[in-house]
Amino acid sequence: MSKESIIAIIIGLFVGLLAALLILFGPGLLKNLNLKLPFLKDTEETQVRLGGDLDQADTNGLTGQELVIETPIDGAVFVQSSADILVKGKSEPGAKVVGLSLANQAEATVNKDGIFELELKLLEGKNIIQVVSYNDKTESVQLTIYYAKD
Amino acid sequence: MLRTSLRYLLLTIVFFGLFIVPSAYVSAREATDSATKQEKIELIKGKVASKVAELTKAITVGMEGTIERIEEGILTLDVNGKQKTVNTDDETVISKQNKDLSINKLKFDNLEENDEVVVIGEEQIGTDIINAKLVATAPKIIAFVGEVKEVDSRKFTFILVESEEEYTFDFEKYTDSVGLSGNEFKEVGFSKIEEGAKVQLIASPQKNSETRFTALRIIAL
Repeated sequence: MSKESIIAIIIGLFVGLLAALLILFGPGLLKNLNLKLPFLKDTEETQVRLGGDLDQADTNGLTGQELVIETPIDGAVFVQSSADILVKGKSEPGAKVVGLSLANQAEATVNKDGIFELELKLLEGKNIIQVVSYNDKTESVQLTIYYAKD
Repeated sequence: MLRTSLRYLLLTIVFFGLFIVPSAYVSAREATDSATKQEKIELIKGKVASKVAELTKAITVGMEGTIERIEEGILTLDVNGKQKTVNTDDETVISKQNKDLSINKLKFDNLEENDEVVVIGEEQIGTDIINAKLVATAPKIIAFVGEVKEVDSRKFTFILVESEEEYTFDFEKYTDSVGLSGNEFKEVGFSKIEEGAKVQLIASPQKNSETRFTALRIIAL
């Protein structure tokens, strides 16, 4: 066997051994070192922003958007210290939206993404919330919300 | 020179392959077996935990019902034909919502059979038992939106048309009415309820009538 062959065998053995050791113990070693790959955190803010972008892409399609209340849902129960709730929904961009509860009222103009928010107050017990959207047509949605002070 | 290099390369690949292939195979098999076992254990753990959580879980509920029976601190309610047991304690708020939407505190003894009440509390899943945080009596309330057809300023009443149906509303001293001017709400009196005006309102039905209501809160647009 020539000198070159012996050198090649030694190199091959060494590299092969090194590779085998890495495969066998590499994952454990990485775990112990607590190395993590970077990832995109899926925060609520990200979701809202992504949702917003999606809506913006479809702005033209919002003409004629029916009045929809996204939160709270009908029949929702709130047990909290504050009597305030945020009503979020969708309607036709530019429409005037007026909310009426047993305790107060609020108004908003629907933005270009078709989204609106109203801050309303609740009374302890059963609450009726009425949201009306005024544009070319008038649409209304009514919710029943239960509230107890915590 | 080229032949020598090729020989180096060939031999390196052969030996590299001889070590790596079996090692990788054994390692991959062990890893798969270990991962499968761990996954199974995690799955069983998850199932046990969710079952335990399900058995002890209480959800916050709100409901309306009629009091069928009153015992020491316990109400039996008829909620849409289903019986619910409502437990109360010293921390349970018992109240009455008046016609003008003001709220008075009550005592448990003030509750009577056949009272219609709203109950908010914690219900343990599958038990129909509620630990009440609030028990309240309240008048029925309905919301309307429509156009004013007629106003009687002597009787302080007006007729509203909603979905081609006509309803009569009494404007009381305690009726809370606001007008919307631009983006601002301003308190207004009965005089701002004009024919043709768009109106949103919350009202309670009057006895023995399906079309006459007492206006509680009004927005005149």
